[in-house]
Amino acid sequence: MKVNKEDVLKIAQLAKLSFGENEVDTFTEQFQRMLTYVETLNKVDTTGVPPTAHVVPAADEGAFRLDASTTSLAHEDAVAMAPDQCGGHFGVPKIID
Amino acid sequence: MEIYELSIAELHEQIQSRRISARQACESALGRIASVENKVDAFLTVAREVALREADAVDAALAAGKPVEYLTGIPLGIKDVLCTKGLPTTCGSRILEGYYPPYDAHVIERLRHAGAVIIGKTNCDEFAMGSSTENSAYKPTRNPWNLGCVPGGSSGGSAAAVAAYECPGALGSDTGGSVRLPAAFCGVVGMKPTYGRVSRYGLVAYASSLDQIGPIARTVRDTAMILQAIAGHDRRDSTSVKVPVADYLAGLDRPLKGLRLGLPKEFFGPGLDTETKTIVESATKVLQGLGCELLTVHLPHSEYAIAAYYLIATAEASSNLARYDAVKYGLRDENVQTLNGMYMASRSKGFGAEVKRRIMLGTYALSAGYYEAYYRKAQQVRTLIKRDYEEAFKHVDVILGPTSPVPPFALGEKISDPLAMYLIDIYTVTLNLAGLPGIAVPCGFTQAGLPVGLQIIGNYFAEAMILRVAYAFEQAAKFDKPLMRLNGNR
Repeated sequence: MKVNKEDVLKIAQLAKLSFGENEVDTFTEQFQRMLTYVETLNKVDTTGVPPTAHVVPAADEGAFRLDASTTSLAHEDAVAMAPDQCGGHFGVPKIID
Repeated sequence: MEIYELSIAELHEQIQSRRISARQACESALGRIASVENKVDAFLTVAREVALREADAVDAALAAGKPVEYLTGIPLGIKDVLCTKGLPTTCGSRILEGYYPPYDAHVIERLRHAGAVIIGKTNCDEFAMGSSTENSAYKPTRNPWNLGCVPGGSSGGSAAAVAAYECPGALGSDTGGSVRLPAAFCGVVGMKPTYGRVSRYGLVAYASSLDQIGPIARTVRDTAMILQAIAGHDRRDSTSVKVPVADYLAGLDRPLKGLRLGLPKEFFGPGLDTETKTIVESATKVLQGLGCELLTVHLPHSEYAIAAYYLIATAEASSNLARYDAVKYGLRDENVQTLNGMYMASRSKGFGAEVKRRIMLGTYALSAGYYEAYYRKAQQVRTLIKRDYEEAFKHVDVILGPTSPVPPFALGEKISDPLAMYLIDIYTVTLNLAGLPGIAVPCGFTQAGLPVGLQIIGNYFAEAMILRVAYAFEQAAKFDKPLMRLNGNR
């Protein structure tokens, strides 16, 4: 797959990242090389092969627990590291005018 | 002999017999850090006061009759991707500069419970993304064997700290080789347990289906002691398993006679440095001399592992790192007045180049129209890699190979070529994709005096088996390790 600067800028929007004008060219070139490399997977015949998302099936058993409430973080601890907080809530720039 | 030179097993014995106190052990390690850290740069935080307080508390508990466990009073370094209450946790990133987690990771709780003393947080590639520790936003760490070389990555700080005798053991995390590679580069032992063996609760996520926490130490026995303390089920990580934890020390010295050791043809082919190849091959002969049978095995899909890894890991990373929104914690760019603008500006300022590259590749691989061609394809290849191992383990008990295709390289040598850096993980990454355990154990030195690591790969939950093989090798090989070079004129 060939990617150009516009593709990179579009993905950057999706990823909530921005790149300076002089960064984009280098990045596009590196991105192209990475894509070309990962496309070597196309040489593998995967017809009928199921995908693996997780490797250890025994994990299924570990995933279940009782639906019971337990202690959690104290409210003030949960917001303590926020860059901005107002009255125990997370502060963000104005969303609606 | 200084206290900091003792292994965990030796220190444990001294603490048990009350000949050395936890405070003395801690002070000795802190003293060593003070004298060599300016050369090695292994730590992002040295927890001097906190560690001494913890050591005193351990001594008080011992005086009150608390039983001594393996790690009681042992100073340990912790990779800075593990949450530690009361100590900064930065992941080597500017985006988490000054972040103090409100809770301890499961493994930290376990270590504290056992009476271990956390002496500091070790440097790493930003969010564990890298193979040289040069991607840390704060500083590069240097290889104690040659300060002009990288320590490997991403747990380079942990491995270098252990190699430089700044602490007898440490924790790292391994997503594509990040414990085993730096262990090999620094001439120490490093282990990635089976996926699910150790709870990831409180490990800052990079690629959740591949990440696993692992121990680093100077001896195999010490590595087993740390693993014993951290392994086991935890309900807060739904991928942690209920498989019973073996006694990793009980069978450590059992003879290996009759074991079948597999040598994957693909791990000794083109791309492997000739000197490394010779050293690793002679290591396999040492094991053969102990009565093991060497057999050739095939892992035909290994050549596709790096490509599959970089799609799966980056896809998961793009999702995991979406949490850095400058709202709940982390760096915020205050100059932007809109919400979306704040996200973009903060993330762009806070993340380094490699993290951005991986988030971008992962976002692309998951985006509409490309998901099937990239992400799903990679997951199918992952199945084939797993099947390769399943087939191989029908014929052998463990698999042997190199840990890295090359010896430690110079700082700056590969940093401008991301793809070349990715290829360093060629022999380690397949284990993460398959979920298997592996251990890197020192097996020799190059002409230039740089360490080489033998990798021993086990079947699922066969940690005891690979520790046993590693231990037998370590005892038989008996290297003269010139480990104290840092005291010299370098």
